[in-house]
Amino acid sequence: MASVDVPSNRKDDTSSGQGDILMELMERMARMEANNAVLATENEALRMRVLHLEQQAGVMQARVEDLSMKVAVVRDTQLRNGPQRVFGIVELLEKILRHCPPDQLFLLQDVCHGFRSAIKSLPRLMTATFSNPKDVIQAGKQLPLRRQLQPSLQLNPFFAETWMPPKSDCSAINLRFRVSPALKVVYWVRDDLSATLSISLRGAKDLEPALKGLHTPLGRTYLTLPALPTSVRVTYPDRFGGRPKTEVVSSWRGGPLSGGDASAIAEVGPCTAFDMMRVAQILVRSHAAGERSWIQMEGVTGWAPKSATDEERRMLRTVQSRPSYSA
Amino acid sequence: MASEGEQTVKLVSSDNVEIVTERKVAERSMLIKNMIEDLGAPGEEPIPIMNVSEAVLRKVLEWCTHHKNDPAPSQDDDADSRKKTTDIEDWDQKFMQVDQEMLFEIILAANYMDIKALLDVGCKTVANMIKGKSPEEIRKTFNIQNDFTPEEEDQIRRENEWAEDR
Repeated sequence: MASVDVPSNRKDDTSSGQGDILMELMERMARMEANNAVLATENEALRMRVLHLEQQAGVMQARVEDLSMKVAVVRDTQLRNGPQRVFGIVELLEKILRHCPPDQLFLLQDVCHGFRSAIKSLPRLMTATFSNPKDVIQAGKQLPLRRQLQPSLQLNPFFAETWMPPKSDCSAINLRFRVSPALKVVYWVRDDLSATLSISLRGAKDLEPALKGLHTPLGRTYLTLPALPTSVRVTYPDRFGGRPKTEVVSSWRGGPLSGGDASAIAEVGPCTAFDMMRVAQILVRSHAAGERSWIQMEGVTGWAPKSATDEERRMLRTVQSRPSYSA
Repeated sequence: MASEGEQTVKLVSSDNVEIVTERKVAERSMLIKNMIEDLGAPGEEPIPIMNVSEAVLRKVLEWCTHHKNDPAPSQDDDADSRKKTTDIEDWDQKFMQVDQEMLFEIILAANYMDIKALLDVGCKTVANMIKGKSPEEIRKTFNIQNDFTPEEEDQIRRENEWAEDR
């Protein structure tokens, strides 16, 4: 095997060069390790700072939310003043409105939606305005006599003008329809809690202003509290309708009513002033058309003149189907 | 030991003010009366009245002090439902002569503290303020926003024409 002779001085140079490199590498490594340690420390410091900032951000967020809530509360208090907060509680609004005059309740519906919906939907306020469908007495039910009724029968202040003291078991109330002051309307109330609305007409057009005037929330109120089953009776001079002076026109259960002037009568369940006037209108028209009596409507409970329109038949059914009154 | 009539109770308003008053006065409030009955040992534990500020609570207690010997309130809400709005005692009328904000705060406090008679007086006072006023005047008086559309307003006005004429 051939050997290579290396000069000894060259050998020394090589080993010293390698040593230098090694030293340099070790120094570099030491520097890098030192740098690495610094970087690790800085990194840890940065990480801690990030954590701290995150915590601060959380605290700030909570403060912002707290302030937002406080602002909302202050804003709410400023925007919703005392009256708004009181009127916003339905029970309190009802308590206040119950002390207001009933005829003003109709006008108060124009204040805001809250007032309107309270007056239109709360049973006690509906009762105060004589428009609660539950405050009725159905015909034919076993009921106490009027003098035994508790609380006693109340008259609708929107219509009742004069109240005449009862004669025997019947009293008469003169009703006043402002839109038609000439219209003579008397409401007779008997002790057995039945009633008759008696309208005296001078001409066929007498009812029109009353009907127009009653096409309002006021017209959709009952004449009494509780509302009573009522006979609607229309009387007019014999010349109206061209009937003989002695003729009496009566519908079912009406029977002969009066001599002289012609009359027509229909019995309806407890219904509103407007509905009673509409029944009167149908009576007038059917009489003018020569219809002597009403016929039972097919398939439903209720009666109507043959000439009644579908809408009138629907109304006639409605006025006979009110819920019963529980005393 | 103090008799029930001489006992005192500590009330704490929503703004953390402690007010000491007679138990009999405080018990005009059914809320406080029930709390005392439930908790027992009146006077030791302060009773928080969370929704009522100091000023309003003092005013309410002034009313309770004046009426502390009144008979217990009736449970029948309908019994006096037909009383007229003018049925307010002279003292109560004077008591209610406060600014509008305080009047409504008293009503809210009476409702929260369940003091029926005070609530009644407050509601009657407001009803008297409403009486005879037009919807517009009512909105102005109580700073109520008109939330009707012009069409809705027109319709309601037409419907109420008759009532307005009366």
